[in-house]
Amino acid sequence: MYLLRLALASLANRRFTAFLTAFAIALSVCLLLAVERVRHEARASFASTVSGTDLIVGARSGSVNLLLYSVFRIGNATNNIRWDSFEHYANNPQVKWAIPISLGDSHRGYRVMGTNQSYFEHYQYGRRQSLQVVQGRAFQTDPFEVVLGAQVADALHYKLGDKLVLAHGVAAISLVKHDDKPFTVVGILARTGTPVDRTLHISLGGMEAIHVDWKNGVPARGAGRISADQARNMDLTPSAITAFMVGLNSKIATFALQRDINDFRGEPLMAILPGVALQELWSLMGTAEQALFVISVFVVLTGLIGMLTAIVTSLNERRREMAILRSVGARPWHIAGLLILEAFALALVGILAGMALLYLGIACAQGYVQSNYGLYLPLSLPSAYEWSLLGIILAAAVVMGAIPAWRAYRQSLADGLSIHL
Amino acid sequence: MSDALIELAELGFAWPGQAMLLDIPAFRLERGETLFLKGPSGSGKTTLLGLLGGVHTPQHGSVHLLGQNLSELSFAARDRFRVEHTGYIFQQFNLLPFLSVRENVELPCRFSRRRTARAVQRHGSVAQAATQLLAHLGLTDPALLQRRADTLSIGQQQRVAAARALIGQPELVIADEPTSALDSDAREAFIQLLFAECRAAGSSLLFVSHDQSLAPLFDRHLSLAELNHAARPASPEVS
Amino acid sequence: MLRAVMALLLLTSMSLSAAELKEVSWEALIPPDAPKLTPQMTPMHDLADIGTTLVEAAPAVHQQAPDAPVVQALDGQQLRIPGYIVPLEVNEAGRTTEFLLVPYFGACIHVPPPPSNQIVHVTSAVGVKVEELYQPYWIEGPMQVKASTSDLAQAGYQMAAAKIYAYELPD
Repeated sequence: MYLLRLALASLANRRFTAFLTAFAIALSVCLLLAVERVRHEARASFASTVSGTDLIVGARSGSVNLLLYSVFRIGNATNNIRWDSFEHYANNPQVKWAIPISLGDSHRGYRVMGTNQSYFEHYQYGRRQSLQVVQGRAFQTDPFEVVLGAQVADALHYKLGDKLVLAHGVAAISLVKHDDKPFTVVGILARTGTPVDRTLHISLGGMEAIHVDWKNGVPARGAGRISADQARNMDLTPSAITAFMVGLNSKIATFALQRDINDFRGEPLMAILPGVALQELWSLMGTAEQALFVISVFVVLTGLIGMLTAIVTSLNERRREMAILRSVGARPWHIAGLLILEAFALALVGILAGMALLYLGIACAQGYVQSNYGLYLPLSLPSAYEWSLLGIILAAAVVMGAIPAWRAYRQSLADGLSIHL
Repeated sequence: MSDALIELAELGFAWPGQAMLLDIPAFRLERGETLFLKGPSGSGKTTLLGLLGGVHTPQHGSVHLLGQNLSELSFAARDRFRVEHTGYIFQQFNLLPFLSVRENVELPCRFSRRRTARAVQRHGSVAQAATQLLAHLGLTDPALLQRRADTLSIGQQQRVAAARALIGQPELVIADEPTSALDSDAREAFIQLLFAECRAAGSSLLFVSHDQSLAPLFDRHLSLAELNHAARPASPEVS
Repeated sequence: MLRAVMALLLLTSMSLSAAELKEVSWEALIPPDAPKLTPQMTPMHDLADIGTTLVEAAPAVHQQAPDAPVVQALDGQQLRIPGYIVPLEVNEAGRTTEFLLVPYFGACIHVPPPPSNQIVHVTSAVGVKVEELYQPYWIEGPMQVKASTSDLAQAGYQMAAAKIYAYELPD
């Protein structure tokens, strides 16, 4: 296609402008693809975090809030719930299993969760997958044992037998540590791709032990201090936990039991269906997602209009070019085709560069995003949906190229063979 | 009648809403003839060249090129007819600056199958046709052929333009003030080269210029002012 | 390719003729001789009633119809029933593959839940993308009825849905 050769040679002659145009398109395409990818991955990762849990119970706050702190370790509980409330429901005939969890401590930015054996037995994620202890074992009788999530072990380079100190509160930089009661790593879990990877798991006894000499929110001093060994010999049954997860014998009983929990007269409790709460979370996110998408589309449109402007502006200085082509036999539709090919070539280069930028960006930021947000961005080939987006952008560019093409067509008809200066 | 390359009869042309610009009762250009046409800018010279090329159609009268009445052809057919049978040389800025010298010369063959065929027939290939034409016009250095067209001097560029006009042996070469940008010593040399190539290809040359001193070099010379009755000042009727 | 098309046509015609799809309403899931239950209409946010719920002596809020009777005759029948989806399991593609089908929307926190014979536990391999919880859906498939056997197994309706599609109001 000699016309393509002419179009490319002409663009190369104006390479600075052409480069800027293609770069603008590349940036906007990269933005659009990045937004869509993050959105898609975020949804997928949220959906695969909890499975097989019928109810989650916590102190009465908001359903999305309860879901976020109990499952995603985002945010905090407003209140704790009593141990006997948990036992009341754990013994309910409708309930097959119940996992108590206790939150509020951290280790170098990663959350610590107190729980018991039923967590390792019954907790599932993704498609009914259970947790696997890939190294070592779950914690047993000694309260100062900790099982690490895969990411915690990787990022902080812990192995079995290492000792670590937990801190109070959930900030990344902790000022108050439980350094008199270090914990030993006894197990490391297999990677799940869920917030479990970013969690340190200790027994409820361990959670009690590190707070046993805390009165009024500050650690005791002097005689009030209780050492690790002393703590081991104490009764470490917790008095309160943050939340518990419930699996039922029959799913049809779900609503009835939820109602029962919500109406519990022992203390203000709230039970949520994780699926429903997730749906509510998504409809909250949905509006933001749509807004982001619309903005990205407008950015792409801006990039394309930049291309249109560049081509239309160049038309004037290229009148001579067109006239020369006419004089050697190019028909007016050749001229128009030349300009559409230019628009196509610019958009194509822009799109390819945008994709390259995207992959470069993902490759660089993948680790950071995973450790800070728990979101895994894969370096995968574009999906069918992404291809269709790119196809639409290319088509839009060609349609836009028709505008200067039409102008040039008319110009070349009017100019005839005279070469204006 | 059909032997003539160009034949104009009772040609009348006016731009929309303006007075008659061209009124030419008769004009002929024979095959292989070199004609000097004196016509300063604004005298309708550009319009006449446009009519000869089929870019415009006359209000009345006819333009025959190689026996074909151009008004009978569709716009697209006229475009095609023009490139198949005509080569152009303009005063300046003839070449596409971002293409090489060689590619510039080969351009007409990209748009005309007939000229490609004739070039192949005479020289073996389009590339060889370009090389040989340029050599005849004094541009022999192969390195020069690869250079960008805008790196050449004016004189060299005009010769490249001539080669482009001649590739594929079109029957008619129209040169519109091709030497005005050259200095006087170079002018005659250029014209002689042009004559030689036209003769070799059997092409007619229609050379439009205001430089009267070149007129004697040509087979025939005319002035557009004489040719065009519309340009004559209003005077009592001369029969 | 042609063979696949023929097989597909045969299958669909068979399934259409063999099992007549019966459209049922939620009423049909309650046996006609079941005792009429007055549903407890106390919404949780009715502050006027806080006094009664907090007092120890007040009767406990009982579980709504824990073992509501089921219509055994519906077992194995190809049914078509409209309802609202309460998601239980969502796969990575965002499709709900296991859910409870209920007769009205809002069967979550504020309104008394439906009794167990007004809930269908549905599974679907392909799943459905639930965009809004208030969108009703048609569910088609073979109904399975489990009568109450023990304290642990709850009586109720189950279905492995063959088709799930949105319920649109006729214009």
